[in-house]
Amino acid sequence: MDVQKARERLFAKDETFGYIDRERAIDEFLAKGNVPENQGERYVAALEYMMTQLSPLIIGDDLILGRMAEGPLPYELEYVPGNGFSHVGNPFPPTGGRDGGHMNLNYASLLENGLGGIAAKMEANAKTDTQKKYASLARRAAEAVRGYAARYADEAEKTGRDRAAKALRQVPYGPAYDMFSAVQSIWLVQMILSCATGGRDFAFSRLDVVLMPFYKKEEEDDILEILTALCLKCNEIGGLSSDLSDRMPIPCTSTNNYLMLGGKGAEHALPMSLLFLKAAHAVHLPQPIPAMRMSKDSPMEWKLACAKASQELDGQVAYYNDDVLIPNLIELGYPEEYALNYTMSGCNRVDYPGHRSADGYHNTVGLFLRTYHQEDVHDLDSLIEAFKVNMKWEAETFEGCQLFDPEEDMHFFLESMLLRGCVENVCDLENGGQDMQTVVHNLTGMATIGNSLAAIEKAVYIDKLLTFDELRDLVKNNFEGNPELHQLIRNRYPKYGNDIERVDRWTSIAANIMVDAVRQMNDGRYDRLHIPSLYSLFFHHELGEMIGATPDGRLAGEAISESQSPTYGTDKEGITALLQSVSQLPHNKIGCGGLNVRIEKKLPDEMVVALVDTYFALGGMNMCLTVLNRDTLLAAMEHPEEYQTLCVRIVGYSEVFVRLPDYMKQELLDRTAVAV
Amino acid sequence: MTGKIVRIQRFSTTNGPGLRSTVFVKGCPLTCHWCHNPEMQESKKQLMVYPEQCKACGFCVKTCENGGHSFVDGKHIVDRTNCVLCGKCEQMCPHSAIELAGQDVEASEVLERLLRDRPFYDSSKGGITISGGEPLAQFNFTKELLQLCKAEGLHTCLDTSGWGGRAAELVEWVDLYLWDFKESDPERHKYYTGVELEPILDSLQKMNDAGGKCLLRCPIIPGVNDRDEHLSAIAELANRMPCIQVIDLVPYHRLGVAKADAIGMHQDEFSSLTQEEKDHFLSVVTAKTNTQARWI
Ligand code: SF4
Ligand code: SF4
Repeated sequence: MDVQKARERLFAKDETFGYIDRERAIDEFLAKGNVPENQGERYVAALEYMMTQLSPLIIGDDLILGRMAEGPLPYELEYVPGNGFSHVGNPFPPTGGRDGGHMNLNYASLLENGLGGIAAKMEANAKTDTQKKYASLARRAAEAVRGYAARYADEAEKTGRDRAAKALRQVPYGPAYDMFSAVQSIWLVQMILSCATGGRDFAFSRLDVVLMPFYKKEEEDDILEILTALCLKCNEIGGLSSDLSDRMPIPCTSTNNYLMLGGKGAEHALPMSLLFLKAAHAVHLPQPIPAMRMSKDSPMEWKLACAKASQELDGQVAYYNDDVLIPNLIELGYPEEYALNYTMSGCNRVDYPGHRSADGYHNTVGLFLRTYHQEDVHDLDSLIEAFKVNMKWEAETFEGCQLFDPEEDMHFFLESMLLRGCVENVCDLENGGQDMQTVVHNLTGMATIGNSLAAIEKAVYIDKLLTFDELRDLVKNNFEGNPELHQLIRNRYPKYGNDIERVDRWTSIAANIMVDAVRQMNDGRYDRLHIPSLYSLFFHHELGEMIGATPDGRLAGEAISESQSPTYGTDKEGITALLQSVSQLPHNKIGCGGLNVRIEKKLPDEMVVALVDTYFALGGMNMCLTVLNRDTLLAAMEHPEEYQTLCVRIVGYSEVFVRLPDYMKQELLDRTAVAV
Repeated sequence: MTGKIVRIQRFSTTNGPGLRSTVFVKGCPLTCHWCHNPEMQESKKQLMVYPEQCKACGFCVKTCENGGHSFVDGKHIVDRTNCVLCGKCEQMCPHSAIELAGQDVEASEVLERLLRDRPFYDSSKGGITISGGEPLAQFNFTKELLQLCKAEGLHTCLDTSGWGGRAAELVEWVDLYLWDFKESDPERHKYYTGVELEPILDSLQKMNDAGGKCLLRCPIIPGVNDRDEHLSAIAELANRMPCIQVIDLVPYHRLGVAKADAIGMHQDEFSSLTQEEKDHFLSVVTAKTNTQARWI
């Protein structure tokens, strides 16, 4: 397989390219008329039509088959902010009513039963008329995909690909019988879901474990090639299409393919975990996005491979701490088996294989500010008490809880055939078919709140510079009228992230209040499991824009702090101090949450292992590690205020990058370019 | 015992094995022309102002009672004549453009700060490093700090030029010396560093005889010591002294110039070595010794 050629093809794509076959097929389907009213029936009818229309395209030395025909679209798709490119009369509305995809598919079941076998199970489980109707839709969907696979098999035969032809006559309709057919089965389904039916960001879940039954040591070279082909495929489905895709740079990340590797319960699958990372290195592209599970007992070979991956692969490579997360999830209410097999649906939403969790983002800093300006709040204690009360209300009235509407008409989504509960209950995920309903509450801006509480304490109670009310008025007026005090609070007051006990304690208090407000909901009052997460994705900008100044010196409209990270530019003591601070957060109470750590240069892998191991031993739950690159330095030159902490570390020398004159910055930039 | 330091750098990855914290002390009797930490040469406190960071907000002008800061034609002028180093302007600068380099600290206080990162040292086979400036110029402070660290079981590195002849006295508490060796020609040594070569070689010999271990760190400065004879002399030194575990060749970088500007001094700039030159110099060393040598 010529990886280089495949990469070149990828980079040659134009970002206006879309899935031409697919859009044409949808147009034709709608034009034919007789489009069923009911979502489920409409979906299956459209799928059936599409499966006869998409070209079974094979290019170059494709090993695993399944790619979408891409080209300039014949018309402009209408862009709907927040909803991507929508297609008038679209028969594939997004699942979940919010964003499609973002779920872990039960590929173990696909390989064992095939779509045909799964449909048969549904037929057997169906008792009521509605269930029987639903099972018949599943059967039709399985047959439709089977037809598409058969068309690919014909094409494979014509081009002399006997192995692929044989596999595609069997999978994904039937069970897989070897490594090739297994990967082929998974890919065809992943591609149809990601490209044809309109969802995006599907997680492969623990593919190392899932594929391990097909592993044979003597076939390692062949397996590596198959996995490399799969990794390439994940980057080839970046075209523009209607529904939920967004216009993204090439190579495209408009749909992510998350891959969870290693950890407890995957010990026996270590050879596959390692081969996956090898394949990811071989393609060296943004997809798939590996997440690595780690525990203190993980073999050193695995830890070192992860360190290498996190330093060398593009994009964010995340680590998760099994020793913290598994007990957390059990305590939150996950069955033990699910906790052991936890995965992430998307960049940071805890889940398990064969499940989709709902999630949403709380405007917690906004709530904190409303509380701060409340009339009955007149000192630090009453502020804390009122924030606890308000936070509970916020969690319990959270709109993100709305998963599905059981009153609605029957839905059908192909995804449901690969979700736990939907098969047994013969009921779509959109009608509540899943075996467990979970909601991830993303709690944002924790450092902004913690720093604010610490600033109030220092200004009002420790340094006694002004009263609680005077400070509050100043904050309300965006610090106008006292620039000196503003600068002091903003730039000189200690901030979370520097291993300073007093501030870290306040941040931990803030985080605990938010997290506890969500946890107390799991007391039997609700039929859903509520999972707290300290995470903001990129909403810290958007949320910040909506709110006024905060007591930590942040001005109205400025971004709030991101995920578990300190306010940008305020962690000045280096990574070890940062990790000490972050480890003070209530990691033992949350289900997910993110910390982005950037190291200034590539380190020996052993050192990265030590860093991650130590942070996890201190109680940390998750960490995304990136190595500083040219882009970071360029960004630092453009937004120096956000990069006050970027340190140049050269033998015996240390200086903050932004303090250097431009020509020296340029020199470092050039050096970094050479090093990459 | 009180010492004068500039900063403690945590997550230090270039000053000895593993993850470390490095204490940079203030004050150095040498005056190397290429010094990369010029703010650590003087032993007294110094006011540093970084023009690159200054956003001309004027807070420092308003704050200083001694006329330390002013703006002339939009240019920030620093007048150190009447500066009493009170640090008020540093406190008021919103953009970290001002730094008062130098703080008096107790060795025990430094130890306490160093111990914060102990879990990271332990897992990475790292530890602490005392650098500077010249740690041996504050001999008693350095000794006490090393003893305290050793009593805690920390791995210790001492980054020194070997000045002062007393390096060997610390062998018991130094796991690894990072020995900066600048020049092998006595006259040039005197000219470029301000001190004699002979006592430094004596000091190295004594440390060697006392059973110490070191990495020989050799800054290679174009136009100063980028000569085959110097590189050969380094190799020969390594052959004579079993204490030298590894020869680290350190390429010149001109980043010290910015810091010299910030303290109101001038520093010469040197050119950079090309990759071919680097390869060549390394081969000169490796041809003459079996001691491991590398560019870092
Ligand atoms: S306070 Fe800082 S930013 Fe403001 S003028 Fe002085 S040096 Fe410049
Ligand atoms: S340190 Fe004090 S005296 Fe010196 S310039 Fe700053 S404010 Fe003025």
